[in-house]
Amino acid sequence: MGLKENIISEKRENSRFFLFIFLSSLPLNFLLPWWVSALVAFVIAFWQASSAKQAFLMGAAAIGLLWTVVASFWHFASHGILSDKVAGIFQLPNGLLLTVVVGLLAAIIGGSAALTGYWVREVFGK
Amino acid sequence: MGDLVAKRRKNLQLIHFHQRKHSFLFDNSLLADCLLFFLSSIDKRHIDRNRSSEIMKIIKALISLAITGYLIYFLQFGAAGLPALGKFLNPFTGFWTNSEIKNSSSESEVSTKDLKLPDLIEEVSIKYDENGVPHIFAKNNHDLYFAQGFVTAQDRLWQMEFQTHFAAGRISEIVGEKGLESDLYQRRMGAVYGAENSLAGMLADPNSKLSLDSYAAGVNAYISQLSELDLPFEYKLLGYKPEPWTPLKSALFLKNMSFVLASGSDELMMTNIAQKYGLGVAEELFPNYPNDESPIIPVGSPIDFKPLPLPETIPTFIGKGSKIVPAEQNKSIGSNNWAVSGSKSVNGMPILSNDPHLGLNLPSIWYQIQLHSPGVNVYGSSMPGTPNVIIGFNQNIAWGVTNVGADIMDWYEVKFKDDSKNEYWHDNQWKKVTKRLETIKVKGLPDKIDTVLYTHHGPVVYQSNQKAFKSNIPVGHALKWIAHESSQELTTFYKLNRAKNYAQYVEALSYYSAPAQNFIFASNENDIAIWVNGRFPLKARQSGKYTLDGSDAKADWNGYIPPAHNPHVKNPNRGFVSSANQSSTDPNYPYYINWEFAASFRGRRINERLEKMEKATPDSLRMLQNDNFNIWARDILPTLLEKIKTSDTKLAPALKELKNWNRQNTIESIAPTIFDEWMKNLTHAIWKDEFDSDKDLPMKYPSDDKTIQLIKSEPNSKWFDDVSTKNKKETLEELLSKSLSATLDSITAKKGSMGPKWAWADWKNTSIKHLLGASNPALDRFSRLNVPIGGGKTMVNAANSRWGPSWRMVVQLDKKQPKAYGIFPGGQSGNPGSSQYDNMIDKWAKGELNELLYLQNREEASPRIRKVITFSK
Repeated sequence: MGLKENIISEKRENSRFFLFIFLSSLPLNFLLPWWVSALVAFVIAFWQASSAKQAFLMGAAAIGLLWTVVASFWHFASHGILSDKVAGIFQLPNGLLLTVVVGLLAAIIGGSAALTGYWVREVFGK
Repeated sequence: MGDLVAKRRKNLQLIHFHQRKHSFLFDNSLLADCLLFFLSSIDKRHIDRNRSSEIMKIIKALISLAITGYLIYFLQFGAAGLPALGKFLNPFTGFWTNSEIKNSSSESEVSTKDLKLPDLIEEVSIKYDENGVPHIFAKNNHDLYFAQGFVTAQDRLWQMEFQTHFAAGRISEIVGEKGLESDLYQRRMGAVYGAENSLAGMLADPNSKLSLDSYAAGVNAYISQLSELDLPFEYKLLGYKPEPWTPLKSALFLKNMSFVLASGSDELMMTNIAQKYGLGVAEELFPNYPNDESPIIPVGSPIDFKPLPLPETIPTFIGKGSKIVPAEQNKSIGSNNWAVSGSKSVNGMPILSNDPHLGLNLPSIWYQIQLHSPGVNVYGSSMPGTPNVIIGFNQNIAWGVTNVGADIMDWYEVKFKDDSKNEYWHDNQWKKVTKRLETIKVKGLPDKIDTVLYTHHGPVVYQSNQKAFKSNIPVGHALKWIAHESSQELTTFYKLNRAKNYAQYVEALSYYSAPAQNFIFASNENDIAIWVNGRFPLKARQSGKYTLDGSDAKADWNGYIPPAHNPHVKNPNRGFVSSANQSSTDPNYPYYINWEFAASFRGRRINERLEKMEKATPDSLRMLQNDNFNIWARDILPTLLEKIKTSDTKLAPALKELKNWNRQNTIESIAPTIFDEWMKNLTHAIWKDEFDSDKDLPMKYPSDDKTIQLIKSEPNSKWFDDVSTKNKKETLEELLSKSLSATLDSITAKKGSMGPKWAWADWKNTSIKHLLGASNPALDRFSRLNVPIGGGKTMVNAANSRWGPSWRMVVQLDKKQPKAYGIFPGGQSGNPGSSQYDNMIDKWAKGELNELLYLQNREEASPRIRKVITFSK
């Protein structure tokens, strides 16, 4: 395999991994407490991740994006009626920025949980 | 290789160390212990293998597992004073789900919803109008109050619970140690003791019992179907969950109204004054009837009862005074109400107005509701936490309340036998002290147990007296307070909600105890009336102006003024009745209610305007509610401007501004800012040197009425001299220019040089704050700061900085259909994520009212109905 193919296959693998986490945590988050996001990232990384870098970055991206998207839905659908107020508690100018902050928080959760999944598999899996 | 092993060991130790450190933060260290166990087992398994890459993998896995685990733990439970951010911020169950989705559907569409509630007897229909006011149609009283509990909780659950936690001295359970002071105060004042006694009285009346029990069942039905998503915002913010509602909580709420309206007392301060200056000076500066007054019961009103003899006057007792004193009654608390008779109105029927002045908070203290079931159809404002309507109207009558400020709280100096404080001296014998243990749960800390001593008077709130007196006999002050007694306030409201005429209103009032209120009344039989109503102890005149001798049996309360003898007037010749917390009666009334009342400014202004009012409409009354005329300035300012003699050119523009002022405290005018600040500084300049110079001897200032009188008729009084300056005698003239100069300096320091920035509304800064945000700027966006409104504390439009008209209502009585208007500074919903959280504030500030939708029956249609919810079994 050439370098180009390598990159393409890595990209494909990354997106598959990303979608796995994103799509399975979406419905589960409506049924189970918020930390199911971390659980999903952990399990899928344990099962699927091919590198620590991939686990962390894609786990962070998937969970971070998921939370931001759902938070933004609330923010826009309600015209920021509550998110703008809560943003004040965190010294932020508006609720839109809060959706970003919430996304970053979720990214840390998703990333570290996925990384843990990968490393734990490295201990037990091989 | 050996190096690597050592390194790994060090790493492991570090992990161990971190885990230990973390375990201190955990409420439950089980998780930490498990991790430690896990670590040590791996440690043993692998230590001999010496395979460094394997080991590195394990270390990585463990470190990331520990970090992720702790991160999740922290986000779920919070730590080190930080909230549980994961729970609060996640967009699936966190605060986001409390946001109201803006509806794009057309406004005329009525949404409907059905709810199954097995506790109901029959079907209940609840119609919500465009302001979110529920109109409840039930077929029996049980279902009516059940539904009231349910819908109130739906809009206000957190507020109801938080306020009753506050009343019960349980705030520390939620906020931790910082709530302890408040909790201790509530417990020591006997809040729970009083609520328990009060509840016993309320449950003795079957109607009260039914409404309390059904209301509690309704609140609990709401709580039990509450999902994590719908948990009110503040529970998510503070990280706790609602507990079941009980009738005791309703009693605690009602009791708390006595704390708000009738818990201030100044007898310890008055005793300190008598200690320092003698009884003569105390009586001269603190007279028993104001100089300028327009009492609630008009002078010359007939007395239609045979008065009981007053108890004999007790011998003069000057107590030891105290370094610790209770808060003086907040002077801004007050209220207005009035009713004009048919002879003064356009349609020949009475019109009634009421605006109670309370703390300006969000969620609003009031909740509008219509209650309809066989035998009752009432609309008005209720208080979240208690069944029935508190201020409102029905088909035939309307009523409202203002605070009386009666002397129903006395402090008895208790002489204990010894330091064990097991016995106290009373009526020539040693009597047993009762001890009540108050257990206060504190979040994150062990329980705090406080022992409160009770004599037959009540709780000894202040146990240790000031050391300065070096007395051998330990003394404290026992509190005798009407709010500690069994009472039946709910019966009054239950009956008022259903009353049809004057006789039924009077009967309803006879059950009422505290906090005493001036109940104003109007009916479609063309009656107007006012009763100064509550349970008043039968006391010798001025008994309780100073602390009382706790060992003297003659100083004890001995019976009550019979309810029928409470001050009242029906259909007076002047064609109107009114009250604004001023003196209940003139000195000819045969009983003692109190020696001091709120200043007469608002009362006099209201009476002046009502005297002149002809052909009144609801709008004339609304305009009077918004009257910004400053009668204090009319009383005193001409004298001040005449007496002030100064060559200081700095003062000239301000003096000109005051001279040209029309005495209206409007939003934009700057003269009221100068006047208000000047009066504050002048009052301090006159009285601070004598009455606020010794921290160990707290005293109060003479009233504004007394100060005005001194300035006008005794300009050479010795009280104008500043005693802190030796060898110099200050005159009133000097104080005037000095205090005005200081006034201009202090306003300039805050707002720059004189100009539009000195505008009155901006200066007084009327702010309506979230219950958690009173002193927490992080929550400012949950509050409405600096609302543009005129008026102020001595004006009819009593919008002060944190207090003001909390519910404005005007009702035009009618044979067929009363017409009513009302508004409060907030909204029906307690949810900061709802458009109805604060939607009435702007209209309130402008002085406008909403027309209230009063439906005749379940079938009546109205285009204003937006949502119908049907409750069925």
